[in-house]
Amino acid sequence: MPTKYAQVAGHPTYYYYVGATTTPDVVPDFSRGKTIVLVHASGSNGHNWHHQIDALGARHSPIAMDMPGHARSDGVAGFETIAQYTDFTAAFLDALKIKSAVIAGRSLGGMVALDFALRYPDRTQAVIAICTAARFNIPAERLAALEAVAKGRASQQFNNDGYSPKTVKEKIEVIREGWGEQVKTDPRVRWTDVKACAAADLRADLGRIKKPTLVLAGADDTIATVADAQFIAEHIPGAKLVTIADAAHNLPTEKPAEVNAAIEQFLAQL
Amino acid sequence: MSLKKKAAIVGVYEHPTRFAPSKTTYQIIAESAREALADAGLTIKDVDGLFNAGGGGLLGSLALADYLNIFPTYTDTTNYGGSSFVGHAAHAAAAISAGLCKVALICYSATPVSTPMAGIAGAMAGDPSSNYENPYGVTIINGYAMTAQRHMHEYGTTSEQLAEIAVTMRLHASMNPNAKYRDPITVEDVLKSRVISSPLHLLDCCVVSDGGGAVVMTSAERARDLRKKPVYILGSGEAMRHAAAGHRDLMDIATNDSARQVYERSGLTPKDIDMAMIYDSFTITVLMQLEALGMCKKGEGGAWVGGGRLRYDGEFPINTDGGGLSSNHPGMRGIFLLIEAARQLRGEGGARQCKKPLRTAIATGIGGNLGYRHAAATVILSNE
Repeated sequence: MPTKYAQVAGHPTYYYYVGATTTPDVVPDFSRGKTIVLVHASGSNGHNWHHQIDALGARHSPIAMDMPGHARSDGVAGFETIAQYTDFTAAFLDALKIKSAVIAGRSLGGMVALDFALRYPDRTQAVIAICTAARFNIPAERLAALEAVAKGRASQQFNNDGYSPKTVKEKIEVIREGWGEQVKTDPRVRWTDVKACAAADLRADLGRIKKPTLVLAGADDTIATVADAQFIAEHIPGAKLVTIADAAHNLPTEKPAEVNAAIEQFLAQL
Repeated sequence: MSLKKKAAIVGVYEHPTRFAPSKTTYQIIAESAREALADAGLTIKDVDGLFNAGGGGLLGSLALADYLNIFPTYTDTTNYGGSSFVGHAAHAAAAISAGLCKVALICYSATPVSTPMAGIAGAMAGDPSSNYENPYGVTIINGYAMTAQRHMHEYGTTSEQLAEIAVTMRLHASMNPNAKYRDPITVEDVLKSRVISSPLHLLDCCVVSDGGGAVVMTSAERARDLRKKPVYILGSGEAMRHAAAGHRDLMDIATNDSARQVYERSGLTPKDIDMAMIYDSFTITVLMQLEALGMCKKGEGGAWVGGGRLRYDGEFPINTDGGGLSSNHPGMRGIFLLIEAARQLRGEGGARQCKKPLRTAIATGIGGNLGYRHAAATVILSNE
């Protein structure tokens, strides 16, 4: 998968793309189909979207960046608030000379997609909110566990949280790949990302989103539940909800074909 | 023939990055060199001496000179680990004093976080000693840990005492916007962090960061006409320790030797030194170097580092940038010792400027492994 660096607000930012390009300083071609920016989850990265980039790339222009402090983008720290990630996404579009795009995101990225539609409506063509919530309910123990890793008291955890029992039973390679993605980002950044999610509350603002919206949920997701997805869909006028069985918080890698089909169908109607 | 006040540091720059997957080490060096030369009021065309360790590929500094597009008539790629750059300052002073070099550029960069390599620990594969040493499982940290164990055994030094060093380094890092870790920590945090190689906890160990820096030196005469107050080299010392065919005392570190040389050559004593930049790969490294410098008696380092003595506002400030323990350690951090010492002597420390007036600073490094084989390089710097 081709990648480049863009200078975004002083941050060298790594991103995945599909369009034609030449030397490092030449922005790729985004003219095919819809331009869709994929925003990753806490402690994750652009590569985690590879199923979507490969599939959507045939007819559209998908782009997935590594946020500052994640994977191959420069810097040792992520941002402390969702709003900062949203503003960075706008600056990323500026750097790539993109006026507006479909904004898709998972978990933390889903909050960013919603926040982007609220604060940058002229640059939003549509919203795809995946495995996310307008208000997360993150147990104190989870934050404490992430803090312990960040402060060197505990080793990083590699567990099955965020995956459906079906994935655990039948597709362990998906989980192993997820662990491989996890180690590309400093555990401290994963902790501050989850804290950023915990601090955000978009519930009261959802009604102001006036863009076509697709909400995708994994039926077995315990971190962003189906109820959380229903809340988002019910409060955004005209939003569509698709719940996919045998998947959880890592829906795009657990059920890539179903996710890709739902997104393609949604993009076709725009 | 003395080197005292023959040469001076006239430009310094520590690159702000701590993780730079978008840059090569040469780019980081070039960016650092450009800023350090601007700091001095010189240009790359003025440089006729190139000093670098660890970055040149197979033929020393040739590829680096190519990248910088300079034609040095003096070059030195001495590499004995992290203290190499302190050695380069001594070697540059000697070359300048001998008329072999007019403007020396000392530079460094490494990117261990963005280009990780497994297993840099014992002798490199292909090194003649590797077959005989590596099977015994030597690693960087366990040599230092073994030395710490011995120090605890002989002198009763405790983990709490070592932790005080880490706490002070983190305090200084909290005042350095570029430091990798800036959240303050306590002794308890250090002791609660997981043990990597006993008795050393995670927070007794330096960070791993991408980074780089550059230092520009010239003659004392020329230095007087440049942008900033010169930072003179008053003296230097270099030494090595190793297995010594089995006749080894873990407590006799190379700094015992390099410090003796630098005091003899400069005519100064430990009491004449106002602050120090001390290589802090691990907390034990700092403690033992302080004893070797004669700041306290051998074996008394444990108690001596307590009570805030090493703080920027304390009696004997060290590592005001946050050190390798909290700020920056790309694998060889000796160049940052020179950079921060120069900045402090010029009064450019900002929030972390030492409270006491400074006339002299010692910069001393350990390259390689305590407990295994290592080299010390020590210089005394002065702003008058």
